[in-house]
Formats: sequence, C-alpha cells, structure tokens
Amino acid sequence: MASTLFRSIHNHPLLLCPTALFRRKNGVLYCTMKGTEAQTATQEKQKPQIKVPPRTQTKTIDKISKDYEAIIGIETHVQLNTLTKAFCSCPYNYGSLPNTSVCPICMGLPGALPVLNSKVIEFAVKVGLALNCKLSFNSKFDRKQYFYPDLPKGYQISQFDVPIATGGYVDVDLPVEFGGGHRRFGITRVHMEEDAGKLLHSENGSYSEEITAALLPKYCTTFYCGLDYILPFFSRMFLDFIYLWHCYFHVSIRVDLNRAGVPLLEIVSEPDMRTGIEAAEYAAELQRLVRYLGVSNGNMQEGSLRCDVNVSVRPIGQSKFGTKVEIKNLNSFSSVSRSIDFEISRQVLLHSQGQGDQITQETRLWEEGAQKTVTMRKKEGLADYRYFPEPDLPEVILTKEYVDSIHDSLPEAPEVKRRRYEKMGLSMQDVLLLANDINVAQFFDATIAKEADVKLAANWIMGDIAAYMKNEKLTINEIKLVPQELAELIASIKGGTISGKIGKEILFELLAKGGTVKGLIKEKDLVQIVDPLEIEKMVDKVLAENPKQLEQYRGGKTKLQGYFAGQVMKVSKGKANPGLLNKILLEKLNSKS
Amino acid sequence: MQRAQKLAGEFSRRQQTLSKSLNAFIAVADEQSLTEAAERAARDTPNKPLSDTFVAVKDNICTSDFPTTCASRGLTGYRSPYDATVVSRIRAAGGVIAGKTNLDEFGMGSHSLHSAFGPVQTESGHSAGGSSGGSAVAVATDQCHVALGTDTGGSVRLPAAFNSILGFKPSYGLVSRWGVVAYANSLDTVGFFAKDSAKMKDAFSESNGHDALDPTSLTSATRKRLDTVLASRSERSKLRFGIPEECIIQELSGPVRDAWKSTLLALQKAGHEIALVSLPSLPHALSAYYILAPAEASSNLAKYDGVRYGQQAPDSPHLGPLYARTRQHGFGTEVRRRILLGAYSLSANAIDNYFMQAQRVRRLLKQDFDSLFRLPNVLSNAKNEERDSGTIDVILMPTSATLPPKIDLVKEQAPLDAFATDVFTVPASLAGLPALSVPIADQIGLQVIGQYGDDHNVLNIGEVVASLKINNRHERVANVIDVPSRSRERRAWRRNLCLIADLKSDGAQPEEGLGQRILLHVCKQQEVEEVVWPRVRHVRELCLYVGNDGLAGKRLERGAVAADRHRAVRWVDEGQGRGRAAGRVVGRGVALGAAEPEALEVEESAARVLVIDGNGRRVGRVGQGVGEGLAVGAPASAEEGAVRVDAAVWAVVIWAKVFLEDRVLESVVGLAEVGLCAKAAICV
Repeated sequence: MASTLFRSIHNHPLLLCPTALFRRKNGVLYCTMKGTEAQTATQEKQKPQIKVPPRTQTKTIDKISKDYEAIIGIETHVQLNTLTKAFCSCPYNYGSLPNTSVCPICMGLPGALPVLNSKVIEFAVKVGLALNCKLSFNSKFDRKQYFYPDLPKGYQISQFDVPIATGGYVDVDLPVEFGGGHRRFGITRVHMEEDAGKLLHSENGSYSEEITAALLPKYCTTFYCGLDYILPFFSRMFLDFIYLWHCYFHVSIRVDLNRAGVPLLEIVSEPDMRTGIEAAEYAAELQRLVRYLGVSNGNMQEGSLRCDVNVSVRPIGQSKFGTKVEIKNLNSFSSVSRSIDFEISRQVLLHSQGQGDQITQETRLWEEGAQKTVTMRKKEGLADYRYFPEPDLPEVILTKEYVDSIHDSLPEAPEVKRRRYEKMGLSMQDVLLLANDINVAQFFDATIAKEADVKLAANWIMGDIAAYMKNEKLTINEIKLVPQELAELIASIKGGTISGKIGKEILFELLAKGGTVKGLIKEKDLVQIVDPLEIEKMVDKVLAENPKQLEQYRGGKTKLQGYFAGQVMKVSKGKANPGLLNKILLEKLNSKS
Repeated sequence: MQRAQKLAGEFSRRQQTLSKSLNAFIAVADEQSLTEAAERAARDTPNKPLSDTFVAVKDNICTSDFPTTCASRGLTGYRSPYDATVVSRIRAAGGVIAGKTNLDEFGMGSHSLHSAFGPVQTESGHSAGGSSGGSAVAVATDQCHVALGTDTGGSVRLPAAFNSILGFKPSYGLVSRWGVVAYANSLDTVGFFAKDSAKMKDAFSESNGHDALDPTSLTSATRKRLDTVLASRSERSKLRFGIPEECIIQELSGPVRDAWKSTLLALQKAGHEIALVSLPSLPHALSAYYILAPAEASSNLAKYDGVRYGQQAPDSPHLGPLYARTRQHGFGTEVRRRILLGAYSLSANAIDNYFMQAQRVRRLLKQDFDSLFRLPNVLSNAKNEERDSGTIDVILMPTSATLPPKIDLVKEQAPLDAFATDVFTVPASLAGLPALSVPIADQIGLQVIGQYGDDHNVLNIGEVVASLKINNRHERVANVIDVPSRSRERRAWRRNLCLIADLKSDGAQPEEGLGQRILLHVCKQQEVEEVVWPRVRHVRELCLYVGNDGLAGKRLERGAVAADRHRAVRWVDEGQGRGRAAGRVVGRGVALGAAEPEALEVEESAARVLVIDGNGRRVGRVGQGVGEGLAVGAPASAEEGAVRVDAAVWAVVIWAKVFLEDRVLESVVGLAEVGLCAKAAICV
C-alpha cells in the first residue's frame, strides 16, 4: 500500500502546497511540516512528472492556494469480516456468483425477521475502543428508509441518534517523504449498519440470461427491474445519473444481493484534515487499525473499505466553512489523496476568480482515467430518511464487564507500536514500514523477542526479506522463515560464526525451504574459518598455483590482491573470514617481495 | 385415520358450499388434497394435542403449501419458500392446515372489507369484524376447528366478538412472529379463534415457545422468571375484576352496556369482586395506535416494490416510474392511506409531534396497566418493592362499544369512523397484554385482559366468565357502574366517586393515603394549598377539576407538582372566574386559562400549550406557535387555526379529551399535507 501511495503522491505537486501545515485543536499545537523552501525544492524535482493540471496553471494555483485552506472530513464504511451477515446466517465471500449467498432475511421476503449477529457488536466495540471513543452503553438500531433496487427491505438497518461510539480520535504519522509529522484527527461517530446489494449494469445482457436464470434462488419470481425507474415518494435524490443513463438507453439492471446484509461500520471523522496526504494517511491508518483488530480485511479494491470524502475550501482566517463537496468512487489511497488535491485546486481556482458561488453542494465522482472529479448529482436539499427505531430488534445494551473484557483483549494499536519502535531507536521510515502491516510487525516483534539486534532485524526484514516477498508475491506469513531463525541468523553473523555473505545465502535458503540456521550451517559446512593456520594453508596453495600472477603482483601490479583474495575465498568455499584472509594474504604477498 | 378422513371431507364440502356466500377463504385445498394432508398428519403425528384438528390460517401468515397473499393484489400468487414458525408448530402438534383465510389487506382494517379478493360476508349481513374476519367466519360457520389470526390493534378480538366466538390475543412475544407478514412489528401478535375453550388452549400452548428466529420472542430466561412469578402467586378462588372508568363512555351502545352490567352483576353474585379502576391514558390509546401502527407499516411495506417478487405493474411509461406504478397497482386504498399517514408521521418535521408523543403515550399506558394488576410485570425493570402493587386480577371490558354494523353502513363510513371501532381493543395491544374476547351475548364480546404473561389465567377466567348465568339484565350493579345519563350529573358522580375512593377515605393519613392519582373538586385556592398540596408530593399525577361547568385540568409529572403549584392554582382560579375551562400542560410548564393574556404568559415555561374554549365545547383557538412549535392564542376561526397550525394537531387529538369530558370532540387532524384531511372522533 505504502509504495502505491508514495508513487501517486510524487505525481502530484499540489500535495506539497504549504497551506495549513499547522493546526490547533483543543490547545494542542501539532508539529508542522518542513519549511516552504524544502518543499519547493522537492517540488522542483517533481516538475517533469507533472501532468494534471498543466504546468502554468499549477504555478498560479500554488501561489493562490497559500491564501486558502481546505477542510476535509471523511466518511468511511468498513465491511466487517464476520463469518455470517449481520442479521442472518448467510456467509459472505467477495466474488461469489450473484445471488448464491442469500436467504429470506437478506432478500427481504415477507415474514422474515432479522436476528442480530453478536459479533457485529463485538467488532464495533473493538473499533470504538481502538479509536478512543466514548461507547454508548445503551444504543439501538434504526431504520433508514429510501427506495433503491439494491435495498431489499426498502430500508437499511442502521443507527441514527445513538451511535455505538462517539467522540474519539486517531493518531497518524505522515510519511517521511512529505515532511513527516504527527497528526491527531477527531472521530465524530462510529455506527453499525448493513450493506446493500449490488446493481449489475449490463448493456443488453452481457450477463447472459442462462447464468442469471440458473442463479435465481427458487423463491425469486422476478429479478428483472425494468427500464425506467423509481421516483420514490418523498425524495428526488435518486435521480442520479446512473438511472437516467439506464432509462435513456433502455438498459436492464440486475441485482446481486450477496452483499445485502453484510455488516458495516460507518466511521465519520471530524473535518480535521487539510491536505490530500493527511486524508489518505487517515484512511490508511483506519485500514491498519481494522487489520490490526482483525475485524475487516480493509481491502479498498474489493470495497471492504470505502471512503467518501467531503472537501470545502475557505480563505485562511475565515471561520465559516465553505460549501462542501462530496467525492465518491475512491478505491485506493492514492485516489483519495489525488482526488482531494484536484478538488482543492478546483475550488481554490474558482474562489480566486471570484466564482466561489459556483461551488455548489454536490456529489462528485472521481474519474481515475482522467484524474479529475466530475459532477454526479446535485443535492436539492436534505433527504428525509424518516429514521425511526427498528421495532424488530431489541436495544443494544453493553455491560461494563463485556466492554472491559474486549478492552483487555485488544491488540497493541498501530500508534502504540510506532511509538515503541521509535523508542527502540529505529528511524521514522523504518517505524512506518514495519508498523504498516500487522503481520510484518508481529514477525519483527517475534524476532526481537528472541533478543535479536533491533536495527539488524529491521534491516533484514525490510531489505532482503521484503525484496524476496515482493519477487515471489508472498506475504510474510507465507514465507518459510520463522522469526526464531532470523534471530539465530542475526546472532550467528554478529557472533562471527558465519559471514554476512553466507548469512545472505542461508537466508534465501530459509525463505524458500525453511529449516534451521544451525542445521543449514552444519549441513553445508558453512562455519566461518577463523583459524589463521588453515587460511594460511589456503593462501599458500593459491600463491603456489598462480606463480604468474604473483610475479606480476610483485612487479608492482598490486591490484591483483583482489584476484588472490577471490581465489582464496573460492578455495575456502566462501567460509574464510574476510578480514583474516586479507590480513594473511597481504602479509604473504608482501613478505617475499 | 378414519376420523381424519371423515372430517376432511366434511370441512372441504362445507368450505366449497360457503365459499361464494361468505368468502372466508382465499385459498382452500380441494377435498382430495385436504384428505391426503389429514391422513399424512394422522400418520406422522398421531395422538398429539391437535390431532384431527383442522386449522385455518390467516393469509398473512406464511405457509409453503398455499400461496401467501395478505389479500393484496401486489402479492397475488406469491408462495413463501418456508412455513411460519407458528404453522410448523401447529403441524408438529398434529394440526391440519385447512386453508388460508381472507382478511383486510395486510391486516389493515376493522371489517374485512379491504381485500383484493372481495369482502368477507356474514350470514346476518353484519360486519365480520377485522382484520381477521375470514378466520372468525370460518370458525363461526364450522369450516374448521381453530383459526389463526393476527392481532395488531384488535384484529382477532373484534371479529371474535362480532361472530360470537372466542378470540385470543396472547402476550406479545410468546408466539413467534417468524413468517408472519409484518404490519406493525411492535404490535403484531398471532391470535387464535375457536368455539371451544379447550381447543383454544391446546392451540395456544402448542404455539407458545421461544423461537430463535424471532428477536422479539420472549427468551427462555424470561420465560423461566415468568414461571417462577406465576407459581409464587397465591391461589384465590374469588377474583377481583377491574372496570376501567375511562371505558364508561356515552358511545357505549345499550345492548353492550346491558350485557356488561349483567355480567358484572353475575360475577358479583358468584362472589367475585368488582373494582372501579382508572387508566388515565386510555383515552389517548386510539390516537397513539393510529400513529404508531401506520408508521411501522409504512416502513414494513416498503419492501413490496415488485423487484424481487410479487406483481409488477404493467410496463407503461405513462403510468409513472416503476416503483410508484407498482405500489399504486399493488396496494388498496386503505393500505395506501396508512402508508401515507405513517410516512408523514415519521417525516422529519412531524416525528416529534406524532411518533415520539405516541410512544410516550404508549409508555404511560403500560405504566397505568402495571399499576392495576396484582401480578408484577416481568418485563418491567422496576423491582417489586418499588412497585405500587395493584389489586385486581384481570380487567373486564367490552371488546367493542357497539354491535357489528351492517356491511352497507360500514362502506359509507369515513375512514376515521372505522378507526374508532378499535377504541377498546388497542389498549391491550399497545401494552402487549394477553386479551381474550369472550362471547357473552349474540354479537357481543367482553374482553378479559390480564397482566403480561398471565395468558393461561386469562384463558381460565374466560371460561369462568363464559359459564356465567346471566339473567337479570336490568338489575343494577351495586353502585359501581351506575352511570347517570346526563353529562352534568355524570361528572358530579365521577368526582364524588374519586373523592370517596381516594381522598376522603384516607384523609387521616395524608402522606401515604393518596395513592397514585387523585381527582379533586377544588373550590378555593386555600383548600388546594392546605389540603391537597401537602399530600401530592408523591402523587404521580393530579387532575384538578374546577367548580361549576367549566373544567380546568392539570396533570404533572412527579417532580413538577410542587414547583409549579402556585401558578397552577392561580390559573385554575382565573379560568374558573371567567367561566371558562382551559389549559393543559405537558412537560415543563403550565398552561391554564383561556384568555389570551394568561395563555401567552405561559409561553416561556410551557413546552407545549393548548388552549381550549370551555364554553364552545370544542377545540379551538389554536393560533400562533409557541415554544416548540405549538399553538396558543385565539384567532377568529378556531377551525381555520387548527388546520393551519398542524404541529399542534397532535396535541389536539391526544389531549383535548382531558377537558371535554362527556363530549364527542371533533378536531381536524393536520394531515392536509399528504392529502388526508381526516376527521378524528374521540369518544368520551
């Protein structure tokens, strides 16, 4: 993830605008980014890569944008990886054939009733606690009502006025490349809800009739939902462009209800972010957090983590927020940051040209190909979702014991981990990389638990091991190397039992095939030769076998020392201690001259 | 086996004969398949409590072998892939499903006329009651032994009373709702019809039980607790019946009143006790019900969009978008009316004034009921010691205030007049209590309402009531419900009665003696100060009645009494001085006195104010918004004002009754926005 993010950011100069590099909240002054000069320098370097927007325009925007600040808030939907859906016993697996994981409950058949999966509460409490929120010990579910073909019941079970968790925060370390720095972003609320189904758009049946018909559950009499859709009773918000498009071209839509009823957590942030990179890092931290907690796979491509971003821009010094614009269709962290930066520059430009009133409250769509946002639908006022308490489900009552037991079982949070690594003396870059993936972090922790040298362990993991994983497309849990052996390897090198070079060889052996360091050393007879006499013998042998070169050396071609060292090493099968070898070789070469 | 075959043949032939004239069934099995089903049941589940019992099922309960249509055009032909839990339980107990009975579409109606399959008829031409009219008629005309219905606001009890059979609504949560098509989830209960009390008990006992598929089903732990509470109750051969004074209303028709009176007399003669009790929030129950039930219905019925199942409207672009078209096509007028009503009362502008208020009324009503019964409510959190224990075993009141009307008359009724039919049945629904309608005379039923979970006792007492010999219809029941017919006298009577009951008898011990509620006839401020206030600190609620014809009322929460008492009394006095009755307070402040200056002075402290013209004897003078958007002031035309200030309307409907004792109040319900200008008749 991190690498994608960085790459994307390099492509885009606007991130580096020095606007709003500082922020005060609750009396805490957060660290600022690097000074403007340093940023300009970075920016210079990036210039050749700039594509969007054009160079000249960028310059002007950069200048103008110093006078504006952007306010960014994010709504995140996290799909929980519970075994079954939130209110029924259907499993959910991403990518299964349409409508193969449905039942009367998640299809909204007459007479069906939801039964709450208690894991949803557990996961929500975990996330609430990890986000430092205040939990509602008495909360409830509400119905959010609107019409949409992917919503089987005509309402979504959600939480309205009493969310399960409120008022938390999340700590984020910005990447070193962008000046680093620590930020704290507020969390407004966390609430539980269910996912809706998916619409499968196809033009004249690219989903073939046979397939769909075969997949229709026996209780579905009709699955086709006509051409011209839906003007629901109370709202016009549904006239979004997708529908209009379908109406216009007379295209059929099919509904896949596999996803309907899958539990979600909606996490709403305070409008605390100021730049695209901050927003992307916030989202990345949420991903890290849910993965650390094991409540979601946090995969943005699969839609397990979905971000809707609200961006508004105002002149610096103005306390009133500008008109906010929502951005959707963000399926990577880089698109989060790039779309925000595009949107900021768009809005700043409009403001600076005195056309600030042209910014309307709307939902915009991020187009990955064109790298820009386009209008999706204009809001004509607030939709009335007619929320009311879900009468089928009892209230959600948490006991202190329950919350405490969950609290005690929480894993170490990414933020705590990073601070711990930092204290160990690792560089920020190392800290961020190690703590980025819980599995890597666990591997690292296990390694240093075996008293391996911290810095060396970090280097091995992020160097050779990471490179191997990347080449072989493996995760750290899939490699054969175990932390204990890595610790052993590091100790062996440090203790001089084997050379660094041999160490590397062994490492790749361990990565690919497993086994123990000791076993491999023994099996391949790789113990470093540190006996001067033995080395001397080899040196003698080499010198004796290469009289011609020796003569040349003694004739002044001292560069040949390397040749001899190589030959000796070859004879020793790489086991000779290099220091000792050079020392003895030099002595021998020079002694007879 | 032979008996089963014989019965199957008999029932099937009877169903065929009566199908045209009564239209009680939507779907029946033909003789052969019914016989086969009966044989199968006799073979697979022999010697069970319901063996050889033919059970008709209301068509909003899912069955896998018959279509489930809810009498709606939109669901015509829909077949559920699964059986409702109650149906599986009936089958497991040996019962044979005899067919699916007709109803008001989705259970919405009181006369079983709003069906896509035509109205349910009776042999007498009177209304069959609703919404489970088909089930009631099927039992009454011997087309089956037992029938399942659903009772949301009286849909089992009302048809049972109209058809002179037993109709039982169990406590909410005892019988699983899995597979019961939801109308109003928090009220829906599966109910039973039978002629024979033993069959009724069997059917109920077999259906009763925890179901993991229904989150509102009573848990096993609570069931155990309930059993302990029931077991610890001391056996009493003589019962104490409660008669809610709020049910003694002018609209009670003569025959019903006489039947009720005679029954009470007979009970008294048999050695049982009769006690006049009060359910102060009961008059608001009907309004609360007609806010809550449509609100939930508007949400529950949203799923019938024709996308996944059910009928889709014919494809024609002229008829509007698919959803609107399908729902317009699929739902009948009554269902559409209630969806609109519900959608309106849940909308952001209205929810606080309608839905939330109605929920408050519902809570109050539950508390009122709990304070009456000897048995504690296992669901209430209050510990037993804290509870002011009641004294009665069950409540006995009419199921319907009137005899069943002729079907032709019903068809001419305004929708809201039909709503009023449910006035006596909705209280038990709102409180989730078990209620049994016992046929006491032709087309007249009396309800036995018990404490939550006391279902078996209610069924037993029902037998006691049913077995009474009622002879002397004109004899008076010792002063208990001997209600004067003229309103002025009646008021005096009630006043006296309450004074006697609550105040005078306990005058010597003012601290403890007042009980929950006092109703006073107040003449002087001094009297109030010296006699009443010292005692009312612990009184939950207080009603002040000011002398002469004008009435002034006041009802406060526990803590609010002391704080506002001076002002309250002053308002009362001034109101009286002007010969007007007025004022009503909810929440923080006090509102009394009809004249404008007073009313306006109240603005600041009153969360909600309603001024009523006592002389005019109707709600009026609803003017400018005050406080949280409610009305005070006196514009020229009362009616106009009421329509304009729609936020105040809820208050009108709910609260007006307090001041207009003895009178039928007409007010305008502010639903003009959704095209539903409706008349609300609050019967007092």
